[in-house]
Amino acid sequence: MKSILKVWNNYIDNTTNDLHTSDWKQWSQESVNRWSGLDFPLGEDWKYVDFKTIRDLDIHFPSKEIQNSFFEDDSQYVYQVNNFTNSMQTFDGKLPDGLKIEKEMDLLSRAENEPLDKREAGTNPFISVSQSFMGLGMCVEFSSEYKKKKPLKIVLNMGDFNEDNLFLNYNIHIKSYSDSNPHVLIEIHGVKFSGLANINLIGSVGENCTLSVVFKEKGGEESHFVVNHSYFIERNGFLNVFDLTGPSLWSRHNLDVDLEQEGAGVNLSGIYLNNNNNFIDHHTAIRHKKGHTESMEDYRGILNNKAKAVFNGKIIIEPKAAKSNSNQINKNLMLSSQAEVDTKPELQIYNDDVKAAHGATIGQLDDDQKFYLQSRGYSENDANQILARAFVFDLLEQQTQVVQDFINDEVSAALNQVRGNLG
Amino acid sequence: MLLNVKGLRAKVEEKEVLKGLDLTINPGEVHAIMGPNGSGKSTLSKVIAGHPGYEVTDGVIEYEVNFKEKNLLEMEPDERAKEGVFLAFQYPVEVPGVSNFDFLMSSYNAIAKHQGFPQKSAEDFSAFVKEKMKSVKMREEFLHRSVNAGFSGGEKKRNEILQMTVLNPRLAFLDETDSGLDIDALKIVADGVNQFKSSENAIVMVTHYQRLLDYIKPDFVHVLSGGKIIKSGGPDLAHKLEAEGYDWIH
Repeated sequence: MKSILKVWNNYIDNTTNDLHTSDWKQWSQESVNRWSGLDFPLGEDWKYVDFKTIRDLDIHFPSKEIQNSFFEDDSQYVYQVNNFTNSMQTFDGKLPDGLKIEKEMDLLSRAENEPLDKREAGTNPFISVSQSFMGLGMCVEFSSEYKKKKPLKIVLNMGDFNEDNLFLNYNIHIKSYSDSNPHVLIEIHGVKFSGLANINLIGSVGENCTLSVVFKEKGGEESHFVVNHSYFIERNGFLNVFDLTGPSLWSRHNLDVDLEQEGAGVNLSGIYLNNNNNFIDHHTAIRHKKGHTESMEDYRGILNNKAKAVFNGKIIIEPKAAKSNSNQINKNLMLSSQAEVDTKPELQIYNDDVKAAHGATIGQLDDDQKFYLQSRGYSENDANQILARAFVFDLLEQQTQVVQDFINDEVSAALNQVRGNLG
Repeated sequence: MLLNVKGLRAKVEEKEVLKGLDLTINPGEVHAIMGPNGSGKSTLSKVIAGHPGYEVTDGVIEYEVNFKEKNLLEMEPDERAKEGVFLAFQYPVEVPGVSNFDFLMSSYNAIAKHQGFPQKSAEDFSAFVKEKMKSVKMREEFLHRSVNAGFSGGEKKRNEILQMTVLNPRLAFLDETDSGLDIDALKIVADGVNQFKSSENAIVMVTHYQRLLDYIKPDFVHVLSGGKIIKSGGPDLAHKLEAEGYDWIH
């Protein structure tokens, strides 16, 4: 964490702007105090994390801005966030009715008495880190006029800096109000990214609103990501999250959902595809705070070579959450005897009148299925690849067409790599 | 000659099951291999298809394709399939997440490519497979379900026969295809096999019971016992076995 502190000092010294409030620097300093003394995160939630590739990174901000390179796509509204100063642009410069996007720093300048991000960091110091770097982010707001519009795609373009050991911080606030029902597709464009990026998604789902967020992390051999999702769901609001984690060297995803009011629900699903010697860790926590709330969770992992994965899924059903329903599953397919997964489903139930189920599986490819496919002319490699795809097939099938279109290429590419490695 | 098995010995989990088996099959022939439980019938089928769980310790399996003789034991299971060896499984395997259509089309095209036939587009294959499905009275919806997943026992067996007719192998081993079938399903399966039968292919039925042989007439009947073929004859042998059991042979 010391190297992040160095970057923060640089940030706070060099950020000059015409903010109407001077409070933000004080808030920022207060956030820093919560993590600056740590060597690296400690405690149960971090005990399986391998910090060896991250702790000695001598990270710094990018020395220069990068050029925009737009991804034109008529099927979506594309917003591209290019670098640490958050220069942002749409491909046509216009926003549809019902969608408002502002820089976090602009919003901060209007904030009167409190910071935008009031999350409690708990055991996750990277939330405090993001609060220290407040101002490096964007705020997206959907009103009911956005109903039935095309998805919003946000591209975090961090692959073209041509510098090693960078530190980047992105805070993305998403507010969706009643009946807007938006799809937000977030793509980490970071195959060539070298360094550590701290990415924060702070979402609120209004009454009777369904927010769908798809997070696609495309990292590379020198990419380290900490991704903190925090969502707050109001009465009869519903959140869908699909989290696709690809072959980044090191990746930790924290996903916290608070079902704040009656009738709130969430469906979390994710696929992690670890092909090489990478590390991917998902920690999810769903809090049922009120009655008649519902959560479903399904994460699947495919691990090859010396890849390591962690899944920790915590579900807390609070005393006032009677008639709540919760179902969690984590399945892992191990393609190599050297791969490792640590999975820990965790239920904390403080009300008797609820339904809650959880399960975890760790297995290998089925030899009988393999032979059956081979006996029909499939090579061993093809059989392995088909069975690996079949392992995640039903989860993919449950997703909307928008989600499938957004992730299919990456899933196929990752599964092709499975085939190559087994060969 | 299509298949020539000589002195075949094979073991599974250190237990020798086949103990010097000989069998010759020519194109156009239908063979029935009968025998009591544990005699090695299913082991023979799996060894022919190349199951990795069975270790061949001695003997040869010659397989002739286009006047060229190949050693089946040197070929991977998928290479055998591509050369026209087919096994209808006693217990067809469920493969959730893989549609029957995709499974069959990829399989068909892999074999067609290897044998130098034109591969089929999805549209052409769809028309082709639907025609084949009629012969085993399978509804089209089965194409879009996962391979064997949630199929009844009879549906699984019909799916095996469908695969056989689609892939058009030169040598088809039907491992206990009649087990678990009621009489109507048995007739459907037998009709499918009879339509498939030609002067260019050979069928080997591995079975416990005579009743399948009422619908698919074998040219040769063999008794497999103790890991060897101990008696061979014509269709009458099956009737005698049905009436008198296996003890009289010893």
